[in-house]
Amino acid sequence: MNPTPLITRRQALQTAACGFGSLALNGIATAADLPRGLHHAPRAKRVIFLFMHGGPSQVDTFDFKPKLQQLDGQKLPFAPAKNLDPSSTSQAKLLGSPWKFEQHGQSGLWGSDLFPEVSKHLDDLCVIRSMQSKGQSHGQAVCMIHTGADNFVRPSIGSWISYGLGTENADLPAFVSISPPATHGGPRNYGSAFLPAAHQGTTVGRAGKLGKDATFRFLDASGDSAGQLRKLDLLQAMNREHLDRTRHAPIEGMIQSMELAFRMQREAPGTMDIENEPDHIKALYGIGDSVTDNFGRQCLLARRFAESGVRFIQVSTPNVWDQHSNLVKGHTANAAAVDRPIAGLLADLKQRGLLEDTLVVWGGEFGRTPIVQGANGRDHNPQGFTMWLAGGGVKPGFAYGETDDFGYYAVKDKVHMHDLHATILHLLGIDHLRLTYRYAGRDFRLTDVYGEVVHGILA
Amino acid sequence: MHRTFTLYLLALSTAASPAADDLAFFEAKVRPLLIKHCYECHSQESGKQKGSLLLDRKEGWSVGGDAGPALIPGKPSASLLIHSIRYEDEDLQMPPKSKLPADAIQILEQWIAMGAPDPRTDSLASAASKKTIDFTAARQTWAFRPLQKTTPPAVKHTDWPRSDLDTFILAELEAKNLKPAPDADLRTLLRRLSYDLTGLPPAPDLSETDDPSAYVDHLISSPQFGEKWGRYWLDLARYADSNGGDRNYTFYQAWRYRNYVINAFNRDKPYYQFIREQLAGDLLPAASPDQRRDQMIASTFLALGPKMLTERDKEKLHLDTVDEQIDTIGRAFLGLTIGCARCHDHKFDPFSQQDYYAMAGFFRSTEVVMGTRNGCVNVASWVEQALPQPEPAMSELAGKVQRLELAMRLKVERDFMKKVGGKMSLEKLPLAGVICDEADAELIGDWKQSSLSKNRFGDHYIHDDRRQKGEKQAIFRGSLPETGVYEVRIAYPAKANCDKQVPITVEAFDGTHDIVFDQTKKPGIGGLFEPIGRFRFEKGGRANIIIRTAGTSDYVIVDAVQFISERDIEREATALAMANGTRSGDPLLTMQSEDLEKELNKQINALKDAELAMAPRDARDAGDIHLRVRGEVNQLGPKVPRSFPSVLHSGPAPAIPAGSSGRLQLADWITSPNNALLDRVIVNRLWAQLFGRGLVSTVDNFGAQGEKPSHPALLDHLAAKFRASGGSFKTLIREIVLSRTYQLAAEARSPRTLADPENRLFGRRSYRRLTAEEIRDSLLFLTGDLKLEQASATALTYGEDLDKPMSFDTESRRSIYLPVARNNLAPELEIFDAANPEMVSGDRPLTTVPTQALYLLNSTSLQKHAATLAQKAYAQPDAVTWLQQTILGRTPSPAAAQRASTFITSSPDDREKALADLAHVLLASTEFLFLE
Repeated sequence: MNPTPLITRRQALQTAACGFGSLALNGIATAADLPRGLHHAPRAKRVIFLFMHGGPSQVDTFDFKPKLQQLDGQKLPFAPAKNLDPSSTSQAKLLGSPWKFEQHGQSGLWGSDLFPEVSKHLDDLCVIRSMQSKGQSHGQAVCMIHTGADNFVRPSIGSWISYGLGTENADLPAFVSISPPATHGGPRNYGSAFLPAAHQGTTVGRAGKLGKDATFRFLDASGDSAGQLRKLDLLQAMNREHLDRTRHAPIEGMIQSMELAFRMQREAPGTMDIENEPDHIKALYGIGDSVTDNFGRQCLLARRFAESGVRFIQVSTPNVWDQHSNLVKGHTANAAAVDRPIAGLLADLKQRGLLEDTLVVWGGEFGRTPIVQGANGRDHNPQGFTMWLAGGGVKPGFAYGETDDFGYYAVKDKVHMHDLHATILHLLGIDHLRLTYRYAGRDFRLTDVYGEVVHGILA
Repeated sequence: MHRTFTLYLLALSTAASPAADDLAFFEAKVRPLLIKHCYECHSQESGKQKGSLLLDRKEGWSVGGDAGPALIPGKPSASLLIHSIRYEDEDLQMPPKSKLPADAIQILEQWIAMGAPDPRTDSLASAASKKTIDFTAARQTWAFRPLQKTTPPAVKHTDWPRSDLDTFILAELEAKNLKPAPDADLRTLLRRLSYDLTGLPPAPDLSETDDPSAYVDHLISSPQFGEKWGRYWLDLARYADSNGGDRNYTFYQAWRYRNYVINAFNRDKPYYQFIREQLAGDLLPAASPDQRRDQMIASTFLALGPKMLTERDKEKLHLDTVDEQIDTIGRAFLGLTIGCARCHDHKFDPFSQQDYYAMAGFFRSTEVVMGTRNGCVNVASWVEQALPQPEPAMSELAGKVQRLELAMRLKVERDFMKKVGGKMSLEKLPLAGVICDEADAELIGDWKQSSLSKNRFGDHYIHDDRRQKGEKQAIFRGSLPETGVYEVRIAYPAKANCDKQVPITVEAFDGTHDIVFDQTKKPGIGGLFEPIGRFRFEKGGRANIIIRTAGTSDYVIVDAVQFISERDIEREATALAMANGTRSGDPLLTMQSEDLEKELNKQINALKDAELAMAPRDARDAGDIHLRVRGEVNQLGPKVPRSFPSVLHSGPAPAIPAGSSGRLQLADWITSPNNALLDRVIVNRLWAQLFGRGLVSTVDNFGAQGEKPSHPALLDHLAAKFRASGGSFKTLIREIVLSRTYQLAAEARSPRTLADPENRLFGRRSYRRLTAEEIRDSLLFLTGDLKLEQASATALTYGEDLDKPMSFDTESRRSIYLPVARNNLAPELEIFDAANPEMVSGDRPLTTVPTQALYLLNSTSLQKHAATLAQKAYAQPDAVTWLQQTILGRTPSPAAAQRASTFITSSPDDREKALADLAHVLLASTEFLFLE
């Protein structure tokens, strides 16, 4: 009998289980096709995306090219990609990989000695060697991998997933980005664009660095909790009286969100406190070793968020992988910082049974050219590169797609970034064609008008 | 050789019906291939016709898709289908996922060489055909038709309306058997007026005011009016002080536009003039330097969008910039999503792709993005121009800007020169334009490489060795960044045994030219190059230079080809003379890349607080542009004359003087009285700002996907009045806020809330939350800290980009003056739904998220404000009541007063801390945050 559409407390608790989004009253009301539930049975419940900002080289990591090694120093026998830096097109000479490759495990997948620890897990990985993306520069490609658009402002994949699935834990956000990039679009990469603001990523840390006491914005568990409770009581009494007087739905929204915030303030610090983890777990992630400590903490935090019901967790390196020069020095240091933490994460997820329904995604915004840039670097290469997946619903110990003999262009079973996005949604039980949001006269999708699920990698 | 022969024979047979053998070949080899690899996306059966192409019938490939016929019988290499399956072009590869095996490609090549025999006779018409847009019908719909003559309807309660506006509202209420709510009490009304007209709470001495009309006049003429309403316009204009996108460079000059907008509202600048200035202010005539200055600043509007400055394909960058401009103008001014028609006709609304490119021509002819921001050839910058000022300062500043642009142009040029890798002769030669070395050329026949002569460009040159004359050719395929006239030059080390009659063919935009050239003549330019003529080329168009050997007997030498724009020739001559030491000039001209970069950064830094405007200008190569098939930059369709959307304009395309962008014509058209949509959209926006909901509730979308108007006659009535007033914001706003409808009370429960829960009939007042700016400004206002003077370049001191976290805790000017950093908004504004400055935001979303609650609970700045208020309260006789009255603007109810007192007396802390806690709670309360 309420004249205005108010949410009852019980409804609020129910909807809260579907995510913060239900509290974004006005925003949700405009959604034309609000997805409730899944389109099909999911193979994964959550995603951990390990973002290698800057673009690691495929031919130095997981895409072994004997012919590139053989013809090291010779001219590329076909035209290099358009829009390369002048310093790489002037000669277009092949640069063999300075790293040694070996086959690993039962699967015999190739891995270089840049990633000795991750290579031990190759039997768990599904390596896509035929990735393609849009954007020859970082700005475009970074936005492309996160939002499916290289030029315009679109919601990030985590926001779409939050919008589609909500969170499993009412006291935590559905989408957390740990140390997200501050440049190349920065917050756009965890932003909700035209989706309701509740779906934007909640961040902790910044630009690949996770400070020791990093926490969510405005969250403060350190204060005088008795005093705060006293204030909260008075505030909520005033607000409820105001609600009675006005029957205005957004005021009820504020009242609920105040309670949710208070619960989150209690819950989140515990989730984010990695100090209580046992020493052998910390060691597994390389925490305590100055080389791996930062990324190890990020990965362990990601696991804790995954356990607590966060849907999409991103972990980012700083923007360090961009080796236009000094390939050996740069890639060696970058890989050393993340190799053990990533291997630790995979092992830890596996031993807890979490890898079953957690999809781990590894990669950068693009790969690098097999031709040399300047004296000893590699330029950007969205034409063909490698990403790998593990866990929730993908074939383990499996390689998909191929680049040409030199690892330059993807030529067989190409997987465009749109296809990867469609596949990630598919694994979560979402049909990428049906997860839409109406805005400015159009139904928008993460995959725009593109994208096909890569059935060949599904387990 | 063999293939050419077969091809010739078979071409003869294509006219006749396909021979039985040919058909057998089709059935055995071709049809299965097509079914397996192509039908999934190109057949009626699959329901997919990607790129509008069908491959399941002969007519499908012969008519072809968006890019034209898919194949040309008899000519495999000229056929798009073969081009795409050979993966020759990064942008057009079919099938898209994997290249076909070599034998499959060969079968299709063979089939086409045979003349593409194909027995599949289904017609295209029998497949679902493309819809066409019925513009005549569309022009009659409510949004697009001319303003309708309206008379206020008859009502029963004739004593209720104060104006025609009220009569329209009352009539709809009475039609639903409803009565309007009671009038709001005076205190509530004055608070409402104060926030709606100035964005601030009423002054404390308000109790003496009892005449709302006089109060409205007072508020509307205060400078705070423009700050409140200007902020709304800035939401529409996606105003920001930084680029966002990929590089968050600081827009040092954007603030001038912000202040222009505020002043325009305060001076009640006629809306039509306001629009004209923003679209074409840089081109409009001006009666005074001040007017010129104002107009130039206004045109910053076009340049404000976020851009992917590092996009390496600069034509894509230009077209993306154009797209952003069309999208912004379409939605902000016309409530239309024209931007949707970039890749195909609009799915819902009457806009064709043709319409889109007709509009795009205006903006592609407008220069916004250019040069390099940081010296890297991949990172573009934007146009800035000197503002009018007294001489000699004016010439001096204009000279500095010109010199900066020269440095940018030289830097980009130098970096491109590196591409040709010449190490010997190039280092000291400041050549200009685009140069293709012989290594870039497509060679036919066997050429000999040599590096014998020192007078060469790059590491080598080649010669024909006086053999196989006629067969050998060198084809240079140039690609020019701008349309215009270029001098074409060739490089060759001149020798006595070179041929005197070398035939050269130039394939330019204006046709094919055959030239005979004497290679014994010593090259004049830098000792390397010699001109062969001047020709007109189109950006991205054909620019081929073919050096032949037919009819020659002596050596023909090929070293390099240079294309130099006419306007660069003199500059290059000066530079070359400087390099020789025969003339002096600007040292920039002969600087090497690294020095240019340093110089560039120095100049950008020196100009950041100069008197410049971020104003666009007409491009040198202004003109109509090509439609882009599927929106792909490199897939050119037909050229589209610049014009206005067909649904709003049925006349011929406007006459646009050569060399001009046509923005003046666009500005004239968009503001002409025939364009009723412009008035409908803005009037609806003002209404929505004052009532919380538009007469058309989707304020940014008047298309088919938007809502229909709740009161169409009232909308047209207000639009006509607005037009008649010459586009006066103040007149319309005053009329609305003095209406009885505006002055109604809000209600919790009544027959109206039951019958009309969303208040579509405006029979009562809707509650609204304060905006982000209103919250922050009110806090400063209440503590007495708010500084009311207008600010200027507030982003100036934050450096080259606005990526670092910014805190404004100590800043006490109104929120509109805080730097707006894209991707990095002030947290206290962002969490309360400040407009996202990356897109048009005519209707800010209202969200309720826990971050807001966390902010209200924990923000140190909110607690600081609370403490300041507590200190003020401390001195008052009744501190508790004073706090409630000051913050909430009303005397508390006895129950509320009692609760507050108990909160103070039961506090374990001292009285000042307890008062600060109370102030904190009041500031965090919904009663403070929501307006009745």
